[in-house]
Amino acid sequence: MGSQRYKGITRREFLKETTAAAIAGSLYLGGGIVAAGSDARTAVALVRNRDVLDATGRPRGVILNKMLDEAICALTKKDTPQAAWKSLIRSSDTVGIKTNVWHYLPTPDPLERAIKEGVMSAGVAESAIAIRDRGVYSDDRFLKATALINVRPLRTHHWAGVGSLLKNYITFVPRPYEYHGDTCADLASIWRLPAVRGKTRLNILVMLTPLFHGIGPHHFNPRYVWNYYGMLVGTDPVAVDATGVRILQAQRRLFFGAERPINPPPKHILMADTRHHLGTADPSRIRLIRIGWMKDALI
Amino acid sequence: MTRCHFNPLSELPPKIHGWDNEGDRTYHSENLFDYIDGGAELYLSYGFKRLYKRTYVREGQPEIIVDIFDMGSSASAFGVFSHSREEVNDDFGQGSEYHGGFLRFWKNRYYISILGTPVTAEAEKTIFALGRTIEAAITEKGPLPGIVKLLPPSNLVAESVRYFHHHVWINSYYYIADENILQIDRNTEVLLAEYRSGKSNSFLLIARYPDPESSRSAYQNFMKEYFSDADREGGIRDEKGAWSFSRLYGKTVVAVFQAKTRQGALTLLDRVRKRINALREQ
Repeated sequence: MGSQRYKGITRREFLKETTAAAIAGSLYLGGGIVAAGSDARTAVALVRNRDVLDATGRPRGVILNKMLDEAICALTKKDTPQAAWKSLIRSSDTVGIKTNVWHYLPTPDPLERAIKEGVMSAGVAESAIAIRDRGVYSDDRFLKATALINVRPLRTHHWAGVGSLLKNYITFVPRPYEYHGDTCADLASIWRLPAVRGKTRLNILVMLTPLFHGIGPHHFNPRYVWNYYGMLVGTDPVAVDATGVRILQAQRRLFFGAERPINPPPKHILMADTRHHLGTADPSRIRLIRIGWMKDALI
Repeated sequence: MTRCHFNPLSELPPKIHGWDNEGDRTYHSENLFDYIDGGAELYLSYGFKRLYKRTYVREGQPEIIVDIFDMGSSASAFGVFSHSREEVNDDFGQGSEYHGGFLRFWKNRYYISILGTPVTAEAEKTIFALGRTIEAAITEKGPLPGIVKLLPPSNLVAESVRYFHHHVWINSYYYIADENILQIDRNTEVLLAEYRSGKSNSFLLIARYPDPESSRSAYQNFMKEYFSDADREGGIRDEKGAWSFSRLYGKTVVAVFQAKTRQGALTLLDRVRKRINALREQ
């Protein structure tokens, strides 16, 4: 927790020029905030490819692989995918790939395979790589991991506002409901746990078919997914999540024809920046690298 | 299905249209997290009592999940249903909605969700048949929350009405705050609704507290946190130039957001005040 008590952000605060209010405005309303920024900005790669989904909506592995290669090369400024992976992962690392198995919108298998192959290209033995979602808090391979790769699809969520990269680490704790307070505001505190702290080398937010609105106990209806054909990739989970949320907000505005804020507001992303200082959610401090097909990118 | 200690799953067939019952589960407030994790908070905020779940399976077809929530009162069942509805129809129960393999409706103190996705024609037929069975088993209707009568009917977007007891849902249409500046708790009844006139729309919030002390405290805090820079009549303009006002009427705090004109906001507030007074006299 930060030393100062969080006093909340009302809509009235958006009119004031404070950093927290500006970030909240971008997260809660998807406002496009443009700032000059500097080279010190956090890089987030948005990669999209119109051919990544086949006629039935299933992801094509070859294209996914290509998208991932393009994204990490751009992020790391390396010429080859292997060089890019080597800049992220050491051959001596034990690597946990934290995936997501939510029935209606899981991390695609071909993407998990592509990540695993990438990690192996950096010299890591296959036996030193684990892929798992639930139960990682008691999985020896994850507890011994020296590097983590965090990958999941973006979707709205009943109580946290969005199922985000930050939230994807909830399975590193045995009692997730202990983090439900204040609509999951302090999920970033999980990232301080010994099993996680400082280990995440790459965050991949899958944006192939994001869920932008949820209804009912299972929070899923095909009416509220759309083909976005993309992925957001970065080393700062807060920046990647914040960017994804802006895209979701834009899609909600398009679909509903009016402002329809994500509800509950994705407060945990704001708090990850302003309270836990895990990364930045401030669009003026995020440098978006655009790769590939950008029609209807919504950002 | 309005009897106590009654398992509504006993009303469902073990087989239907080639689907077989794969198994039943019952959840209560202590273990609802095991089933829907973060989703549990929504139901708990409405006073959830018990969930009866059945899964039907058939080779080559989607599984069909039937969830029957006993919410303890018809007001709470309506509240959960209203939480995310996008249209008004009464094809099932006292209000229902169907999209792409997902049927949900409410009747009496029960909220029912039947999901089969990706949907097929046969699955859809089965979902509807199960809905009819459940609907018939719940023999009596239940009353709407009394506070709904405070909504002026003119220009009201019927499907927009939301009823709740937890502060996070105040942002459903128009972001207001991420903290509980209206001091809403489980004893507070809150309504949120959209009003539309021509191309402009505004949002009405009505919060009814258990006693005048609670409502006064909530109103004072709301004015301090949200209306601190209000003009002499208590009005403020948002970033788009639209007007917001709030008033305290006895145990009820009423607020209008995003009104195109200040007069429009004040007129809507006054219409609510008259309805509060009229109901008090009944």
